[in-house]
Amino acid sequence: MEPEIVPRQQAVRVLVILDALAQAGVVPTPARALHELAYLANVLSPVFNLAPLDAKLLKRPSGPYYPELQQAIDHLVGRGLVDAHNVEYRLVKEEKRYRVVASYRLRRAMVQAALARHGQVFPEEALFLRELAAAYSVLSDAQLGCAALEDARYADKAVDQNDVIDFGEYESPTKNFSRNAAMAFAPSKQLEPAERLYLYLDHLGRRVAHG
Amino acid sequence: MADPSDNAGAWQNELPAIKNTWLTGKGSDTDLPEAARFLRAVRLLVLERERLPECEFDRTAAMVLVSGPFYENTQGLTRCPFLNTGKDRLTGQVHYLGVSASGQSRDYSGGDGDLIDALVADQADALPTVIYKPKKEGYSSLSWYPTGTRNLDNVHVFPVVFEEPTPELIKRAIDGVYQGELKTPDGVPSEAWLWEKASMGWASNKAEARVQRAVRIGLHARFPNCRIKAEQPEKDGRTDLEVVGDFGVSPDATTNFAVLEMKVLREKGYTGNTYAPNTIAAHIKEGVNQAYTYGTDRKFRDRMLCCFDMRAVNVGPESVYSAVKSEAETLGVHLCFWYLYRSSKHYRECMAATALKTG
Repeated sequence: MEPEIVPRQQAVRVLVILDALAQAGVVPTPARALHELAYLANVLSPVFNLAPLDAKLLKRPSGPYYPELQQAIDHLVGRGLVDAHNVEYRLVKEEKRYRVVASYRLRRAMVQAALARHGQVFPEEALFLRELAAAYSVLSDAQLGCAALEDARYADKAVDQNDVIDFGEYESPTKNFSRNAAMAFAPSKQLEPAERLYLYLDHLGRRVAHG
Repeated sequence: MADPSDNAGAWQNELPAIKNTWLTGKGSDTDLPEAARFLRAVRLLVLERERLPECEFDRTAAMVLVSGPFYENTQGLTRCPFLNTGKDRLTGQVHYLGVSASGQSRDYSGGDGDLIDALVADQADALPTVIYKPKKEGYSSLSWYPTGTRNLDNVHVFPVVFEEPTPELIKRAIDGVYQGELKTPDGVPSEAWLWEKASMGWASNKAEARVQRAVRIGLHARFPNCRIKAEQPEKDGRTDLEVVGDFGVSPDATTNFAVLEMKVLREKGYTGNTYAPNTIAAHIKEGVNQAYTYGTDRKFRDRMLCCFDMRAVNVGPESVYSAVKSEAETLGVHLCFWYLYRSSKHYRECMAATALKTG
């Protein structure tokens, strides 16, 4: 992929995720929830026959974090398309590094036309992210951003902390255990793709709540 | 060798439970209009709440369908992540929700009038709304205002009980769809029109598909614990609509409640071509055969033939079904009939003519 395309794709992904989370009532959106939903969108996009935007990430003890996504958020804030609230940099002890802690909200008047156009051009992706965000919104505020630690792929012990989780970049897509688990629900039934997202997030929520 | 796509990583030990997870129906209806999805999700949520011993039956609640910008522009709301699981209190609150009945809420103080005032204050009185009036022992009701509480006359009332979809209840649900959307073309949006040229009696070539979709949405709202499947192909053909109970039960406890064969009876097609009476009679007979075969092969409890008559004169169900009545009885096919008027004027003329005839 052309290097200059990637930041633009990241920026669009941020706007669409923030919109999807707003539709689900998760607004203002904590930064950690944004990163987590970006991760879940990557592992679960094959359920909708969509390609992940990024099929790898560094396994961090505190949950998914995409530096390039954060950069895109910062640019969007700088351009006045997204509002940031309660911004601070907090030390993540396990990772020995600072992470931005903030809540984000779209500046609707500035981005609505772009979101509408995205929905027209990529209706399947827009539907997928909307349904995923709605399924994700059953997590409590305390669970948002920490749930992926229990995710079928993220929690897989075969990958150590600070190693790369690969679910299709260089490894076979069959290593996408999240997708595999989502496709395993009710094998005798023909389920809608969105139904699998809700079942997956329900199961994830139970794991987070009960361990 | 095991299929590598069977590997569920950290969830591997939970695979048996995952495979036997009870379905919830959430996300099963993404092809339906948002209002229909919302209404079903709210009905399920209220039913779930009323199942629990701690359920409150004290005060009225409102559930309003909103979109993202509403949350961004409205102050003082609290996110209720567990609301659509039925675990949270519903009563005495205004809930602003998305299609899957998750969103944000706030308490209101006072009585029903104050609730309506709260909706006005939040500029939500023109948004699709369900008013929940709780009452113990199965007497609660849900009033559905598709155009908001500003239009109190546009309301449909649903009971808060799990209803098994019997032919009688299915027919009643279709009656509701008929009265609201199918009976005359007046007030129906152009994309849902059943007529190519109503004044000439030319039926649209999409009439059957549009009737099927309207009925599917109506059944979806009426039976929230059922999957309403359309166009299911098998060796014996393709069913029009299936009512299958597979939400809230284990995957092996599914009940195939009813199969519905839908027929539109037209004497003029969308180019004005004429259908002869014997062609229409054969169409009805074929409908009986289809309903019986699909119902038997696919083990449905009930089989229904639903005819929507678009012809110039309403001769009534007795006459329409006279040739197949005894056969349908023997085969266990329920015969249902609705007459589609070409305009409200046509409807009024027919009503007056019937009254004059019967004295």
